[in-house]
Amino acid sequence: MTPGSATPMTAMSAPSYGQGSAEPPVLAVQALAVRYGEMEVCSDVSLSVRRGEALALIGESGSGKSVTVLAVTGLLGRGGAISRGSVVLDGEEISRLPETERRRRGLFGRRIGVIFQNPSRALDPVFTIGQQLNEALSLTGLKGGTALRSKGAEWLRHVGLPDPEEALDRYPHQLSGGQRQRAMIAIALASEPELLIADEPTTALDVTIQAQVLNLIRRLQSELNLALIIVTHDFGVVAAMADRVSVMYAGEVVETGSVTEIIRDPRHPYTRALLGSLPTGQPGARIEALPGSVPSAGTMPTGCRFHPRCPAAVAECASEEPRLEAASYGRILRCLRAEELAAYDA
Amino acid sequence: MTPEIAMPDGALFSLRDVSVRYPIRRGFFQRVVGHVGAVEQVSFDLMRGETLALVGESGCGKSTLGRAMLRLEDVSEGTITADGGMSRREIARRVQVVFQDPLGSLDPRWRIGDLIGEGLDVHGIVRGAARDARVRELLSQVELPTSAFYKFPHQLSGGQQQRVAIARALAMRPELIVLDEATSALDVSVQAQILNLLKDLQAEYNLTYLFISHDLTVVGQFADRVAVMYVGRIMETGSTTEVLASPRHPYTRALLASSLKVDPDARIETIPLLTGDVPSPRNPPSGCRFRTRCPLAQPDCASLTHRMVMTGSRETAACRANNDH
Repeated sequence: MTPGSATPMTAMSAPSYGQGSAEPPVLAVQALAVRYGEMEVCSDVSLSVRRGEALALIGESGSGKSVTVLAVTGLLGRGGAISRGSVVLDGEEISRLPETERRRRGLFGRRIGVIFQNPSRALDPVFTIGQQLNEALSLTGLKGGTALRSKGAEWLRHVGLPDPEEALDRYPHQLSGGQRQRAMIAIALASEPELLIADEPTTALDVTIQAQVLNLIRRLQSELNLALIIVTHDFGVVAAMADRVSVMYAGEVVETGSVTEIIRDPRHPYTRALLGSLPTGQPGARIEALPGSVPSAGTMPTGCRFHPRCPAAVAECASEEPRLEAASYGRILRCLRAEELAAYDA
Repeated sequence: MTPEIAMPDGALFSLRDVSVRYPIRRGFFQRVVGHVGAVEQVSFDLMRGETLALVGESGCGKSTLGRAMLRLEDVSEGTITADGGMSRREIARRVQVVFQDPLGSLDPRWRIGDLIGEGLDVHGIVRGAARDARVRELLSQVELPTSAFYKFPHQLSGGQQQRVAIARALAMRPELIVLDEATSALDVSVQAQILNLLKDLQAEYNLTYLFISHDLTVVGQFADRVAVMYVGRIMETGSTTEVLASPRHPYTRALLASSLKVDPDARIETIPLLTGDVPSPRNPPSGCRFRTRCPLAQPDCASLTHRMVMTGSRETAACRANNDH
């Protein structure tokens, strides 16, 4: 690893919009905040993803990554609401739309496909895979039993299920974990969405099956030129899948950069600590454990939310809230000392 | 009981050809129609003070083997011998376990102090004020504040709950702790804290760990020796450094290749894939159990008899691709 070997980022118009290029992002989230009653569970999330690009959203539990997914898909549920910020899908502001309007425009399920962590809970146990696929396929306007069936079988073949014709008539419990996740991917993609969100898609799977499923997601993403958001807590998944990475901590995005920048040259103290606490596989070596744990929504520290655990914290970190902005070296990060944070010497 | 076998010097547990099978029952009379071999013909010695990792995918029998050593599972064939005997009461004290889900293994209606002191009460080791003092000492050993004594499990974070589970195990002054995916559910920063704590405790009390995990990176850092299991059988065992640096069995190689590395050059497109799913132990393939997914499989792998082949300090399951016959 050579410090600072990452390619510098090009200048940006808005900090959260990634590399400034002509094509507008499929999804742009700007300064999003989500409340459940009095609790603000997500405070300042900005991210964007373009066609053909894979963005990884990484964070520990309680960092707000799943809430961000729920806010984008409109699945916050009772009591949850977007209190600030905007969510723009293909140039359309969708964060303030009522449920009926979201449905009419076919946002969740049609234009945004989602793969959840647990396929056995996301699939309906009393319907066959074929019936659940038909529901997604009919959103594209496809009609008629035979047409639906042949298109359904084609999707199942596409995701690599053995005997696709037979699998159409199977119930979810008749498939193995990996096969269920493949069926789930087929259903998420059958409605031909522009944006695919994969929320911890392989966390419940064994490593050999994880590699198969991730490979499939990546292949389909590039074939269909999809915008992909992959939510994970695993840097291995990030390294294997992502083009760009946004790191979340305590309800905020704290650093965004290309996958090489984030892994080889992390700048935010939290990103560094997170990478530092990974086991290296070196026998007997001690891991640099980050002390403490992620603060909960009710007890957020003042100033920078990471300052109580931060090795680089200074006095003003406790009082002043850092903003997410581009540093002089091109990285987007949320740190008062961003300019002083030197290249990572590993 | 089966006759005791000779144990090598320094061994805490010796397993010889251990199989654990569950009956498959069918029909009105619940007749036994067959057996699921969760663990088949497993042999190894667990040395005092070492960390032995059992790795493998789900259903490979690693947890069942851990349960058998805790005497929570009956052994169908073979013998497990412990230095100092295998009586249930003794094993219940000397061998402790920490599970993956701390909240699931801590009674939600009990206070932390009582959870940690339960074993002390049951075995009548210390009572009254002395027991409370011992519990407070344990709290400090696992780096929890003494104020946790009167709290309930749900009031603690996941990492703190796992510390309570470790304190509960330590209370019995055990010789062996079975760590069944003990850090798998934790965030990486918390996992690092717990792994460091376990290392410190091991050095202080000369503990032996049976570390059951699916995460090869954690195993590489934490374990001295590793045994790789696949559908109930051990495929390879040796020192962690040796096995992870130069795997001999095709399954170990495939498992290592499939695990993702934190390296932006190791893109998913470059990872060699194994086809298919892990076969069910109800109906395992004949011969070598890996042959249905093995990239190097040959027709006569179906007739291979499972046995371990020694090379140096390493044991590998017989494999046609390695020219074993």
